[in-house]
This record gives sequence, C-alpha cells and structure tokens, in this order.
Amino acid sequence: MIRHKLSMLCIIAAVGGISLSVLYINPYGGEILLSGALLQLSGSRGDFALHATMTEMVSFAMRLLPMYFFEMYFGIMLYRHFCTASIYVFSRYPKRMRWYLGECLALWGDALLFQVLLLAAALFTAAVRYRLTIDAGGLLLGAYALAIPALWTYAATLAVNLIAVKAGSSAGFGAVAAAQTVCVVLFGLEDALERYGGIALGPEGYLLRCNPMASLVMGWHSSGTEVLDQAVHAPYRTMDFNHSLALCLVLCVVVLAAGAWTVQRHELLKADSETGV
Amino acid sequence: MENGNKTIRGRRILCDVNLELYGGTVYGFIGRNGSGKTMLFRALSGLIRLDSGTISLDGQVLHRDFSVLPSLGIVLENAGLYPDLTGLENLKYLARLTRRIGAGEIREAICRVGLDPDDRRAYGKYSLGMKQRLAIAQAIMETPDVIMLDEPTNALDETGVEDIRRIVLEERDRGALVLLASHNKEDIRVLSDYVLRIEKGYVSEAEVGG
Repeated sequence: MIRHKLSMLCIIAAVGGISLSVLYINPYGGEILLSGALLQLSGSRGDFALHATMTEMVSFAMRLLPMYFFEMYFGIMLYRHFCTASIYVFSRYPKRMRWYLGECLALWGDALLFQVLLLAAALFTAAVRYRLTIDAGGLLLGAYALAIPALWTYAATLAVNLIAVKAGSSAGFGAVAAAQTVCVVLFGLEDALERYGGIALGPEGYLLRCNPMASLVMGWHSSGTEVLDQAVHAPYRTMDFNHSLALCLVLCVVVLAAGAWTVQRHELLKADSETGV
Repeated sequence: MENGNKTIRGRRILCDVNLELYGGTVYGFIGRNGSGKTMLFRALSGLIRLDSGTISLDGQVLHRDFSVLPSLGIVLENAGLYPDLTGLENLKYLARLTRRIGAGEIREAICRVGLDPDDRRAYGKYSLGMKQRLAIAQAIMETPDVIMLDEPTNALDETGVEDIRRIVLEERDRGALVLLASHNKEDIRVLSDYVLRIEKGYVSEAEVGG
C-alpha cells in the first residue's frame, strides 16, 4: 500500500551502494577481485581488530546506513499499513494470519531486492572505478553477502514494526537502530578484551559469536568450502557462514512469530495516534 | 451483547453491558471522551475480544461461529486510510478483500458522500473533511447490514453534515442497523431512534431522539 515503495527502495539502494563503494572499496594498484570487493564492503580488512576508537566505530556504523534507511522507511510504512488494516482490513477480512503472512512475504521480497540492488550498485561503481575481476570464491561469497544482510535487514524491519505497534514508530525505529549500534560498539569492547586477554576470540571465539552483528562481516567467517575459504582467508576461524545464516534465519522466525502473536491478539493493534493514519 | 466486560491495563472499559439491537434502527451513543464508546464498537464488530460475555448475531456467537461481523461497515475516530493512494484506490483495495462489489458501486459510494471518484490526489493530501467523507464511503460501499459510525460528522462543514445525516437515514431505511457515537447533540437528536448513554463502561438508556 505504499505507492512509491519501489522507487524509494531503488533510491536508497542506489545511493547507498554507490556511497559504500566509493567510501570502502579501495584496492591497491587499481585491481580487485569480486571476493575482495565484497569483503571490503562488509567491513573486513582481514583481521578482527576494529580498534576501539570513535573513528573506527563510526566508519563501521556508516556501512549500516543504507540498511538503517531501509529499516526506518519500510518498518514505519509497514506499521502504518498495520494501523489502517487493524480496522479497515480486519473488519472485512477475518483471516488475519493469512493477511499478515502475505504482507511479510512481500516485505521479504523488498528486503531481498534491496540487498540485490545495493550490492549491484556498489559492485558496478567499483567496476567503473577499478578493474574488477570475478572469481569463483567471490560468486559463492556473493551469495552469503546477499542472503545474510537481507535476512538481517528483514528481521530488523519487522522488529521496527513490532515495537512500533506497542510504542510508536519513532520508538520502534529508535530501539532497533540503538540495538544495532550497541552491537557495533561492543566490537570495540571485544577488541579490547582480545588485545589484553585473548578473551573475545579464544579457542572458540564465543564472545564474537555472541554479537549477532558479527554475522554481517564476511571477513570474519570461514566455511568448509575450500574455494570460499581461500577467497576469504579469515585470520580467525571463529564464525561460520552457515551458522550466521542460521542465526539470521532464527532472528527472522522469532520476530515473525512475535508479529503473528501480536496480530492475533486483537487488542494490540490500534490506530496510529501519531498521524491519524 | 450479553454481560459484556472488558478491562484494559487494569481499567474497566465495559461493565456488564447488555444490548439488544435491531436492523432498520439508528442507535445513538453518547458519553464523555474515554467513556467506552469506541471500545464498545470495537467489541461489537469483533475487532477486540471481550473478557467475558457474549455477542451474538442471529443466533451465531462472535469469536465462536465467526470472527468479525460478516457484513459490517465501520468508521472509527482517528483511523485513516492509506495516505499514498487516491480515494478510489483506497476503496478498491478494501473492496477486493470481500469481492462483493465492483468499481461501479465503489464510485457510487464516493459520489454519495460528495467526493469525486476521479480525484487524482492522494488521500494524504485530503482535507480532514474529505478524509471523513471517504471513511464513510468505505463504510457504506458494500451496503452492510451493520454500520458503526464513531463521530461521523467530525471536521465536516455544514453541507457535509447534511450529506452524512441523509446517508445515515437512507441506510437505516434500507434496513441497516446503524450505531452512531457522537458528541454532537444535534446529530444524536436528529438521527437516533434510541439513545444510549455510556458512562465509565456502563450503558444505560437515555432520551429517545426525535
């Protein structure tokens, strides 16, 4: 029910992708492999250290800005759609769960398309500026670089809507953005713990794994696939691509289920008191 | 409704409400802000569940035999439509959910409330009065058996008020059960066959409209 949804999606993805590419893809000698470009886009520079400095944190957080914009716009629009639907749709259409799942499916399509366009814009820009070579590991890495952030964005957008139903749209987006920012800041703490006590990574790297935001950094991952491991050559074998994918899937399922519970509980949905919509 | 009770966040919104309502009648509900009028409409429509008590329609029980009233048009205060869509697009989207009417009936409903179905402006650009008119159009477009109007003449000019009053009476004469909540005493007086007062969740009979 958002007329300009597709154009807004394209604008955020194109501007975001081009900006990320210009800011973060900087190869030596003007040549870069696809896998290298994807690693640089996701915040990896080949090691764990984020260095607990404000510059480093801000630099990392800026990579998330296109996702934040998507979450804000689509999360709030979805919330407003829910507000209208809670009266005018549900008074006509009693199959609330079917309606909800349909809307969630549409949002998943948007989140996936957004990630495709974001990556495409970033890689196209890199190809224009540098000599970009496609490698086998890069193609496989691209699949993960597409799926993991798309699932993450999807879960976060659904969470914005979910919290907005209870606390309003500003609080909804604010809470989700704050949670993600806290995760980024925790990287700094984990970095300090690693430097001074070897705690963050350790033999199993459990502390890093505890930070869900780490699943977005491709360069901290490894897998059982040789061609992918060679492309990533992660210095720490702590994160696993499939585990991160599963984590994001679980996040999506949890938020989806919470949303379904909310939709079924009649009392929680009400008119949007902020806009009258 | 039989012995209807509803409590939200520790506050009793509806208290032992007993109502027997008939088609072809306009019931006017009066009461202060927060007295429970809107919540009563939500409960009667099926949008919320009662904590205890039952609502039945022609022998069938709400939330047991059906989850919302099967033929319902509702307007609630502060509940808007989709801001990016035109009036016609909004109503087409809602009409698709029930598939009871086509484009002709939708356009007719928009004309009945004094709006132009070919107006290309998005709903978000409408004035408050136009939004109110469109909300009423969506409530009546499917010629429902039950129509619930919460402050239907809010934000309307004199002509708008006259239009809506005419529509309410036409719908009643067609056989619809019309529930009308309003702070406008004149609306209640002119339109209501029966007047009910809601105070702190309790419903009692008030003066009969004329």
